[in-house]
Amino acid sequence: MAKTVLSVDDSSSIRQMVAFTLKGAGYEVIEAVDGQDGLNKAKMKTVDLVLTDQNMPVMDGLTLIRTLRSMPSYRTVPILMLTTESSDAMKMQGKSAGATGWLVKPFDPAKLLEVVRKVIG
Amino acid sequence: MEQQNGKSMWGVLSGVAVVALLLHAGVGAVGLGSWSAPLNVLITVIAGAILWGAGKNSGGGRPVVGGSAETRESAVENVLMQTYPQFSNQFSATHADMEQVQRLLADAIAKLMESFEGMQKLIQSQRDAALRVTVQQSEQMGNASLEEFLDETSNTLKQLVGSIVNNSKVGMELVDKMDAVSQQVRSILKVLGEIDGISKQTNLLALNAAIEAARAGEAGRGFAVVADEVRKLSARAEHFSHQIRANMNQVHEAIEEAEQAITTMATLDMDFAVRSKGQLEHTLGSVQQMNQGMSEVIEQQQIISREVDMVVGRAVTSLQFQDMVNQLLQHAKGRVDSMENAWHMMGDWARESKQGSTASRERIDQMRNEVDSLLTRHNKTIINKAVNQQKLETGDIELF
Repeated sequence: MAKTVLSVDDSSSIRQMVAFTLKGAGYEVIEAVDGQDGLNKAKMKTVDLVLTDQNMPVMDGLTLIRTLRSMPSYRTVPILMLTTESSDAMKMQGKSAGATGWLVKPFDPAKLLEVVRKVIG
Repeated sequence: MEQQNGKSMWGVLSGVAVVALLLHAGVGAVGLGSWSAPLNVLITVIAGAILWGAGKNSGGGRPVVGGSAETRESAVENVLMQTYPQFSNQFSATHADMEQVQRLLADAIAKLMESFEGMQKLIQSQRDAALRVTVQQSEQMGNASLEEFLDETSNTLKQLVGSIVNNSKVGMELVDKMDAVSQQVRSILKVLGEIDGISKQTNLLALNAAIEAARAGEAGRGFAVVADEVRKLSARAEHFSHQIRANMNQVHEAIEEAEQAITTMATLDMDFAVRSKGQLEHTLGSVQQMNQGMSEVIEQQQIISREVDMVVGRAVTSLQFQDMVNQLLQHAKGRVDSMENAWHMMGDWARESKQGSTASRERIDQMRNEVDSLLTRHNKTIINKAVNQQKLETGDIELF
């Protein structure tokens, strides 16, 4: 059965690129337009991996991670940040919030796929 | 009090000049040339007023440019009032332009992504089709490669042709043997001729004996009986000889026919087999070449397919510039928003000042604070800007 990835980004083109990369490798991809939308969709179905942007309207990525980590079903689910933010301070905040890893945009589809395979197989 | 108002006003004007310069730089970055006319008027007038103020505050007490403070303030107010609607329009237009750029970029990138997706799907289909051909070929030949199949066919053909050539040789040997048999038959027929001669002589001899027995009378009666029996034996021997000759003639004819048939067959089969072997070897060679060519094409196609994947990957990375540009435009819109707010505030101040409002000092202090706050916000947003990349290189990956 295909593993499910929740892609949270307010940029439709980034969501499209993530879906294009992961669907091509056999993953099922659920898209969410911001942190709140991502949270709602994560509650509807426990996914295998969450891939989220940081700067989004309504709810940002770090808040989404903190909220998900407070839910029993998402304590161990890998969560990767995919953002243009590249400062060490932000990365530290992400790590403290419970992020599994930090990917700085722009991403190379092959490398994204490599990381996703490493994290969820 | 008046002096304080004056100082405050110059502080505000300094801020206005900075904002105006910022505007100049900001709009220049998005390429809106229509800003330049009102901006140049504003900058010229404000800069003149500041220079005058600086001269006054430095203790010289004499304006760098001629005219009283009231006249200068009034001039600035007039310029602010005159340029206010133009600047307001430019702010709206800048907003609209930025949003249009964002929409156009989003649409274009979505369509480009669809094109790349379509292209990669087509390449994938092509790759799958080539793989299906290879797998189908392998299944049809019991999982053996075409190379193995051709080798096996060639060996079988060699064995078959070898067997046919061998049969032909055996046929030729048979022809020799039949010839030998035929000679033996001819020898037998010759011997039979001698037997016939003996029979005839025996018969003649018996006849003479019978004549001599008759001449001897009663004494030759017994001899006459023997002579008669000898003559009968001679007749029977001749009869058998004729029968054997007839049979041997039939055998001889049959042997000759068989010899001819075997000769024809051996010669015919040999030529056909050699010709067929040559034709089949040629055909197998062509099939082998075709197979090799097909394998090379499939291999080349796989390489191209992998290269297309890499190129599409690079394109996907590059297309992410839209997300970064979008964020930068959002950032720039924030700056323009701040400046627009400050501009509206200055417009309000100019109107109030023109109308001689009593609350002008508080408004000027407020203006100065707002401009300071605006500059502080700008500095902060520059530091906190989400996109710091200067070129499109793949970002770092860090797993915690």
